[in-house]
Amino acid sequence: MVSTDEVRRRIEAALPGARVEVGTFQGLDHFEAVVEAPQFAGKSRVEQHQMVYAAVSDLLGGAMHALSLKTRLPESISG
Amino acid sequence: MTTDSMDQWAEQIKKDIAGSTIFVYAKGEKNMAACGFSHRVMEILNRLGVDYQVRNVLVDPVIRQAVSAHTQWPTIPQVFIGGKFVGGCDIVTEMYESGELQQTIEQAGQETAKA
Repeated sequence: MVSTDEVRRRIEAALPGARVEVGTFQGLDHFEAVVEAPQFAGKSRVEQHQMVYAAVSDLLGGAMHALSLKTRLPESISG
Repeated sequence: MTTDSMDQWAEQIKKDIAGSTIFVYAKGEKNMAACGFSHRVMEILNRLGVDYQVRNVLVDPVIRQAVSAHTQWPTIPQVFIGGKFVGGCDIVTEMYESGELQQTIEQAGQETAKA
């Protein structure tokens, strides 16, 4: 079992300065996260998701059945 | 698992995604998904009324490994349009809602028709 806090900490550690919200749905092994990170600048959506997946790659398929993602740039950069 | 079957699947994946405008690696067969995320992707494509092919990764665990190695993407489903990896369930859903998916499919269809 992995907690939403642990998942949030992992993503924050991989993407310093990111704003991360993590929740679960359909039981405790389906996670969803909204990640807003300055590191996403200039990256495609696929690349942005890959950056988040990389932070939790060892959990996926194990304690984490799924990680549903929404990624975006902080408004200060995207505007 | 042998390196051989990994190589064979890597080759097959190239053929799969080059062979049809829309190709989906899913858990389950076409219209018989074994996972909610694979189901959602197929449902979106059905709603658009477009033609697509599906390969069930549950048939052989090596397929999933080979697909993920190809895309550097850890989860299933994975959707390819015009031979290019566009994303998993979240991205396809976002693209569908914004109308970008329909556009991408149309463009890929036109390119296939020209070729």
